[in-house]
Amino acid sequence: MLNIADLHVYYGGIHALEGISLEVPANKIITLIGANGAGKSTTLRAICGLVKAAAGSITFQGEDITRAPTTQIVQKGITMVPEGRRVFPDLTVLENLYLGAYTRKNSGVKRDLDWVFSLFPRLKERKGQLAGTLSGGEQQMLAVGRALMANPTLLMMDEPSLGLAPLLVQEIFNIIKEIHSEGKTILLIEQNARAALQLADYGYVLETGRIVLSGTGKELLVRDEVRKVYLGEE
Amino acid sequence: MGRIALQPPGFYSTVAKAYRKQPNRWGLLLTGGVILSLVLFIYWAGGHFNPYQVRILNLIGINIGLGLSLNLINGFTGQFSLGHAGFMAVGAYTTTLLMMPPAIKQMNFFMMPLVSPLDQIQLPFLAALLLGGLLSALMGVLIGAPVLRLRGDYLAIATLGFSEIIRIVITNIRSVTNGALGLKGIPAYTNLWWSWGFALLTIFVMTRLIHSSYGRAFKAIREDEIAAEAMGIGLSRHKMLAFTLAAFLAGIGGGFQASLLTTIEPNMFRFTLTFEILLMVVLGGMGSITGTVIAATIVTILKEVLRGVEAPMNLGFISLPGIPGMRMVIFSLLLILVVLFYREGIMGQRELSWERLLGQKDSSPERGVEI
Ligand SMILES: Nc1ncnc2c1ncn2[C@@H]1O[C@H](COP(=O)(O)OP(=O)(O)OP(=O)(O)O)[C@@H](O)[C@H]1O
Ligand SMILES: [Mg+2]
Repeated sequence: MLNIADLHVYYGGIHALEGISLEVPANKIITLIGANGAGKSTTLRAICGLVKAAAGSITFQGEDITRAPTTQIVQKGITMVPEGRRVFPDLTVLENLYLGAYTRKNSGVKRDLDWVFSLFPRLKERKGQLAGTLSGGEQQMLAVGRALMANPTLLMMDEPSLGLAPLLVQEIFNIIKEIHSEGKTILLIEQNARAALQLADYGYVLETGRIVLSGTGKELLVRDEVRKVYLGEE
Repeated sequence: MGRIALQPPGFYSTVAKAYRKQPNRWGLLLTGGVILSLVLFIYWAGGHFNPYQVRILNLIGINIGLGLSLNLINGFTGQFSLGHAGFMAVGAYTTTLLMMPPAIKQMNFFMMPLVSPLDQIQLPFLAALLLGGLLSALMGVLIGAPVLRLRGDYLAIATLGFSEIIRIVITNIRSVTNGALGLKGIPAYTNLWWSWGFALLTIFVMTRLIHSSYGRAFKAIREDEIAAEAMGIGLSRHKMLAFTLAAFLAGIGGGFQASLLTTIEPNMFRFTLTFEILLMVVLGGMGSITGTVIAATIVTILKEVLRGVEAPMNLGFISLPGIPGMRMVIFSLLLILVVLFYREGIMGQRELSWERLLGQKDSSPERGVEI
């Protein structure tokens, strides 16, 4: 469904992605792991069109979207839960959710709102509350809910479990499963490599702008390199 | 927030009870009531107020429109513009030149004749106003297009520069603007109906806009540009829309002011003019429509009340000479105090709504959201 071939991204003089190729097949959960600064977030930003690719191509459902503006990419069915939640703090929960559906025409928005509320009953209780006054976990749920309001085919999540208590991390992973079971394809970035690899169908390991390893979640979990560096095992 | 009980409590609780039963219907009814009372008041004031009081009332109406337009870009969209004086100048001069009768133009331009065909043109007030607004909006597009693409505070610098350049250009193209001599004898069309019509129309347009999906996008951009962009909101498109509309309304406001004061000259449109409007926006609350309405009223009246401090004062034992610009000092101090201790202003980002005044206390009012 999503194909990236030899993607290069620069930030000024910094060569952040040095030729990345990866594939996200429909209805799968794909995960991207790697150390801080490896280029995981940059990959997602490039897919969304938030940073421009210097070379290489990004194809989504057969269409080249490498140079498409973000508005169009969102309309085609790719959305991102950005790193660090980034909810709109002085807007209400409901306004935040409607902003997720910004590029859509009316049809289906109400239905998706009900779905998001059934995934996150807590958000429904707090729909009139300002997003900035939600707890960290609730804000993360709002960020996921907001992305779902765009009715994406491909949902990309950048470290959704960051800074959450273990119990909530588990809840977020359960929700990812549930979203996946509704037919969404998921591209997941996680620091929590073990949980991500257990959940994912396929994983890529990114190191300073290059993909150094890939394989099914189970394969990667038993690879020595992965166990040492990302799972902290001896 | 303190509740001001203008009516005996019995009346209040009756209305509140009715409102809580049918909020939409009573909200509409009450809004209609307020507008009707305002219209009646304006009608009454037109006959009973002295010319000085009428003038202040006119200024309040115009300032509400101007304050709201600045709040649209600075408060709601979060892009800091300091160019209102420039846009008002464009509107004021365009409106004046298009509607002033040729005979009066001839009297004004005794040093250097007005270029043709401007010397012969005389359009109706409304047409001249709209064209003034449109030219001002066009200026907005020309500045906004390059600057609004950039992130950060470049807009403030660019609009400030624009505003000064406009003033200098107006001072120098004497065959069009009469330069530093200014223009006198502008037909005084602005009356309470025009100025308050402008105020009400601006309030209406702003309210509709802010509650539309555009308005929500403006606020999202203000809160977090990167997240807004990730939602698929076109940043420069929305910023341009807010900025151009603000410039348009500022141009119209400038036109009204020209016709109210009946004289204009380039020095009226210094930065202090932008500053006064900025004060209304900040004092009322960046991102609050009702806040701006309240603050525009307060600041306009305060400016008149404070006239005294600029006049020569005789304290019996000592007589002080008048200090021109003293009001600006007071306004500047006021702005500093608000920013230091009262950042939210009167309303913050909240609105004075019927729900807030009459609704149930325990249920936190949901902000209006329509798709
Ligand atoms: N806006 C930017 N300007 C300059 N350099 C940037 C910018 N954003 C990221 N970089 C650099 O690009 C590289 C990749 O950053 P990226 O955010 O993609 O890393 P990451 O893998 O998501 O890391 P983390 O796990 O810490 O979130 C880093 O070296 C970073 O410093
Ligand atoms: Mg990252």
